[in-house]
Amino acid sequence: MSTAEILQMIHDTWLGQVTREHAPIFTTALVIHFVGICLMLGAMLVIDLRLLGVGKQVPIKAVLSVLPVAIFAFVINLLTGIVFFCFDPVGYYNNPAFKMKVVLILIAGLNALFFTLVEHKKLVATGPGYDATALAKISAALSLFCWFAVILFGRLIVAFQGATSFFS
Amino acid sequence: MGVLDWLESLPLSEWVATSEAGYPAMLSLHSIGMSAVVGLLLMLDFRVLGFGRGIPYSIYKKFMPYAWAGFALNLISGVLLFNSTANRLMINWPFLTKMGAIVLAGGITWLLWRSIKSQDEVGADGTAAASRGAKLLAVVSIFLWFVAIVCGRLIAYVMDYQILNSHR
Repeated sequence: MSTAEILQMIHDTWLGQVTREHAPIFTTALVIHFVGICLMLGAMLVIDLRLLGVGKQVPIKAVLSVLPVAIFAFVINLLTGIVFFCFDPVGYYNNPAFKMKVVLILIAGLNALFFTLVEHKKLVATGPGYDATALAKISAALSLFCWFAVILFGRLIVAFQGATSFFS
Repeated sequence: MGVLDWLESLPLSEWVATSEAGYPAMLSLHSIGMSAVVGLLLMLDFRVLGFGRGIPYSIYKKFMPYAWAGFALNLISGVLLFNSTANRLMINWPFLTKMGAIVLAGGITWLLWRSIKSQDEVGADGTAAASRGAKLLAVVSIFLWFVAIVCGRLIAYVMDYQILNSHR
């Protein structure tokens, strides 16, 4: 099956049809997406800023308790994101800002996976005043950089509608 | 010439309104700032409501400069966005509602912050449960941020409707 056929299939799904026929669905999903952005970044800032050394007297284990908020928000935004994609699969697929956003989400995801597998266990065992290792700090900085960049390129999707590259 | 016309005639306003990069750049900065200020203040509200109680309020004192940085980014990008379309925004109900919600949310957060600060000194580790009054303020604050986000999203739709041919 070619890419074009897959995109057409997504386009023809029930979700795609229903979002194209009822404009309020897209608008509502967009509002929820923005609430999700706030929840996601709020939780990530709490965790990543602490890892970077802000509020060091607080044990890392304590700030990690907001992680469920980030996961919840990510799932919400993934689901609303699927709604957008089904609305116009070809448009999103070719949009350079959307491509960039997806790449950044993948990098952020790999970074989160690294953090979970390698750093999480060690950090939970540390106490108040603990200064995270350089590696954990790089991971935290990369996380914030990626998520802010995801917002940036997400917002630029409309601006690059119909364009095939950033420089066309 | 009225004040609104004068604002729209400023060179920077014209750049935001007519250049290819101006408007998307301001919208992007506005979304990034939003995620920092609303995100962190939502996390504070959740904490007051009892979520992640292991996190002492004192760490939010350290996070506040980052919330203020997000607010500053949004004030600057917001003023530039406003100046570029001042006349139309002053008759845009979602815009006016959003401004009202932000002013109220700011005031509520200030009251909440005051009640927390006195409480943090009472609880030895700053992890005590919040008073009922503080919890009520937190709920109102979450509601107002939600209203601000919803109305912020609706500004463009109402504006499109008004002029039917937007440069968005």
